[in-house]
Amino acid sequence: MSLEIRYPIDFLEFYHKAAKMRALQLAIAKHYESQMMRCPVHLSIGQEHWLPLFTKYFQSNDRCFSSHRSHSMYMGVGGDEEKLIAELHGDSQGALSGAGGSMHLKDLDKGLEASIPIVGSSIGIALGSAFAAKHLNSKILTVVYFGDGACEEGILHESLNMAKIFNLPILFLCENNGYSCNTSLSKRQPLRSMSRFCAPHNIKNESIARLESYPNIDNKIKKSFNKAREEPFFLEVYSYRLYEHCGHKVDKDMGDRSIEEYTREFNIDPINSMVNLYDSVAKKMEDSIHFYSDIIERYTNRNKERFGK
Amino acid sequence: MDIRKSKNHAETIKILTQAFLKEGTSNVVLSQGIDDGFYETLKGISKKYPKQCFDLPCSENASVGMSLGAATYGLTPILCFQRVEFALLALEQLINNSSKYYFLAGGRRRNSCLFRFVIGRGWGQGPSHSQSLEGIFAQIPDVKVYLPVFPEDSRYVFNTFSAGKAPSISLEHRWIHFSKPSLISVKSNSPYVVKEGSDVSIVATSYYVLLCSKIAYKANEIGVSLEVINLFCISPLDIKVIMDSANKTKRLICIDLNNTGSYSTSSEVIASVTLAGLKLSCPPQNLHSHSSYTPSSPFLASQHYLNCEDIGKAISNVLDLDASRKEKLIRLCKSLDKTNHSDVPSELFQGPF
Ligand SMILES: Cc1ncc(C[n+]2csc(CCOP(=O)(O)OP(=O)(O)O)c2C)c(N)n1
Repeated sequence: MSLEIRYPIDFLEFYHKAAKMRALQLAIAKHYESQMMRCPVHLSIGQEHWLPLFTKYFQSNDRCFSSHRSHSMYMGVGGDEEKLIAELHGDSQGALSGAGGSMHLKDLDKGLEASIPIVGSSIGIALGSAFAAKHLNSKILTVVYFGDGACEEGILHESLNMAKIFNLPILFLCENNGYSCNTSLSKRQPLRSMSRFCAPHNIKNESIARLESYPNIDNKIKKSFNKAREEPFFLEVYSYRLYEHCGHKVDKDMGDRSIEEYTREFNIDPINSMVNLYDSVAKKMEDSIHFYSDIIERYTNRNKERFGK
Repeated sequence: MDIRKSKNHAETIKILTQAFLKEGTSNVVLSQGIDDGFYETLKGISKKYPKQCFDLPCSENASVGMSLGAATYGLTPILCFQRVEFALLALEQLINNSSKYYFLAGGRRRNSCLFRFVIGRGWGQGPSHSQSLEGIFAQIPDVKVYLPVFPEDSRYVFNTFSAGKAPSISLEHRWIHFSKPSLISVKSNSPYVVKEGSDVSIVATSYYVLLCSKIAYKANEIGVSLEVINLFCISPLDIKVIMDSANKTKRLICIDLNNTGSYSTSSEVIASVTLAGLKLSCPPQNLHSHSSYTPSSPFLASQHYLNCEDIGKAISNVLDLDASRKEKLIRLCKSLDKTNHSDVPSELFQGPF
């Protein structure tokens, strides 16, 4: 499939948004080294391309619950970027006034209700959110975002079962990036697909391939959101994380990863493809990196003063 | 009020639950096997309020998570587990997502709900269905942990839990379901005096409050005056009543349901009053079960649990009694111990649970 067909111009505005998300994270990575953002950060560089379509179908009343890799959902619901940056710096202007850091991000005004860095833990609370919505007949969708690692936790299986028993309006959104920290999926599970857990609970599902065309991604996310407003639904998104599990460095060969694998995946990275394809996206990326870097530097400099450096 | 005709604790909980459900449709009750009536405390309730009562699969962690989430987003849930040990599979949600949710949301999200967990005893419950484990829950900041004894205690819990910012946990000892009203109205979550006395302060939890009250009335016969305090709420722990009592009597005995004396409710009470500067005339006593785990056999279990004789011995240890009064006190206490049926709350009780 040619890149023009995979990422057609009709979705240009979404590529711009995706580029901004990448830019924000690259800017964080660049400045993280100065040790002024003193909390563990799980970047989703490599995993952003579909997020603008999440934004498209996430409604203002909907409630989202995330894992530790919370920047994705924070950006996905349209969370305030400066408050994210401030939170990473432990600043009182931060999204949680400094109480949570990167791993507990919330934007309660935008629908990101919680990010919980205990693998699988947010699934239980999300179940309650959906249970309340259903009981109160309130037409609110609950989205719970987690990784392939969380599918190894009992609570996912308990919750899939209960979501079906009570027929709850909930979208289980699983991003399968093939790794739990530095351990590859093949060492942890006998099969590659997380959607396989749906059948035992009689839950319908959809999955988005690594190189799915953008119009297809759009359709599948739309379908998943619509279905999940009526009954539990499971959406699996295959992606690849280019940076280390936690931290600011590129991850070429940590743990189970090989340089060959990294290079292969880097070459098909969706955001890079969009940037290569459209000059305006490349420009957006560059401008945004500067824009976010300026904000980060303000906070970083302030912290340097506070730390007496 | 004629105590004999008044409702017992289980019936009272049922009445309280009915009132709770009647109050509004956003109030819900969840329990595995809810139609079975949860030891009479929910008898017939799921038939009367089918839309507000939910049966649950054996998924304790998700059930607790779901209750916490539901409590944040518009419902007021009561979740019941037949044994507190089942909640061990749900400690993840309880510890990670209860009061911490309020903390992280800067006070903008609350999750007040009620967890009713039952502590088993008797009829061969054995080591897996008889632990109290209250200390585990008391370690979660801002979660209220109750050990109700009398119907009035549960009335207080039911009337107040939904106003909290975080969950309340009520650990109901199976045998206190049979208690009758104390006729003491419970107006706060502070420990309170069940029977006044001047010689020894006894701070007890749960079922042991009933035993100690019995002992206290009996001990009066030989001029030993015991003050019995129902600890009731172990977290937050308000020690004022205990301080006042022990400052008066200068003698303190703490009795709890734990199987060891360390990291226990009593050790916490003793530590707290010590830190507050309490001066006693002799070291405090810390009474707990005799062995690490409850054996199943009724003959062995009766050696595991504290009985009135054990408590009598502890009382005689802190009092300066001459040998004959000491012996008399212990004999008197021993006379309260059941020789038969020590593994059931009353002779009317039918097994298995
Ligand atoms: C219950 C629990 N176990 C282990 C960890 C350590 N841990 C943090 S993130 C992570 C990886 C989880 O992988 P996955 O769910 O696939 O998410 P990803 O990091 O790939 O986004 C692990 C194991 C944890 N935080 N919580």
